Amino acid sequence: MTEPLKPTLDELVAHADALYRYALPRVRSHHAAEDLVQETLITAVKKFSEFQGRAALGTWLTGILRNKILDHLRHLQRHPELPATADEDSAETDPTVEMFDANGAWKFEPSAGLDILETDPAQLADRAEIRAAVQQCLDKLPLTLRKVFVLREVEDCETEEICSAAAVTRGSVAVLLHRSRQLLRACLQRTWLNA
Amino acid sequence: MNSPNPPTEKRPPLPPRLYRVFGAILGPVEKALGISCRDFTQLASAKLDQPLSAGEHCRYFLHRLICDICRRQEKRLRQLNRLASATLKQAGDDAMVKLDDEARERIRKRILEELRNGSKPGL
Repeated sequence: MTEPLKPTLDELVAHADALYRYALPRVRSHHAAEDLVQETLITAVKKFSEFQGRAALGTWLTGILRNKILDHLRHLQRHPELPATADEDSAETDPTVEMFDANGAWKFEPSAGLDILETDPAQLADRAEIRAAVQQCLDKLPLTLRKVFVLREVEDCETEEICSAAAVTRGSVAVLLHRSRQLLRACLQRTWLNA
Repeated sequence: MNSPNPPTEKRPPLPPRLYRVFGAILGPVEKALGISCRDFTQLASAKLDQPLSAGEHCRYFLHRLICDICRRQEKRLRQLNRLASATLKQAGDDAMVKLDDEARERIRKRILEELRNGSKPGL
């Protein structure tokens, strides 16, 4: 098999914007996203001999970046820039508790205002105001809940990977995912009911 | 001078009357059996990520059979997951989002530095 042609520096840097766009919504920090792109391209330079050319260069670079993002999230969990509040990440504090009465029945109609979701998600995501609402609600999620949600729903990570990247136990992943989904639903419901 | 009242936030409506009546009667029983709406939402979320155990599946199925609100909510949750995923993935396709020239130049310099210092450069 022929070796893939080594890209020039310009060809490599040409992927920087796409990598940045991939990283930014996942790490929520402009500086962190830039640093991750830089680290990815440096790793690519060092490990280009491992690139077999089976996938496109961009796909290979995205794979490296994905691992860098997981490492970054893992690091962030161990050394948070902003300490999580007790309310945010405590396993004991369940923000969904106020959605139900003492018998566990809904206090409010949980699907009201969400009929818009019947539309094809790809079409909805094309609309700037919808994207803004979803992004805003995702940003409102406590750090760990957001992280777990993004790892599962966007990165399609398995439970083990989520545990490692978000520094949570296997048992709490399901609980945290449940909370993040319900908080996101409630936030979008509020947003769209009041639009 | 009185300041104008801030606009009140619209809250979601109460569930239908029938739901509330049945909830008042059957709620404690459902709770005791672990098949309340709250239990169901946890099971429905878990089901999205991994297969449920036989016992969990029974509880999930039983509640799903009798609760229209939860069936609808489960559907909305699946749709919401797909929308959130599509939104974040779409953010990766937004050509307007790009590195500024300064950052690009810094990255280029850093790679060049690496190429000069690196023991086994790939390029």
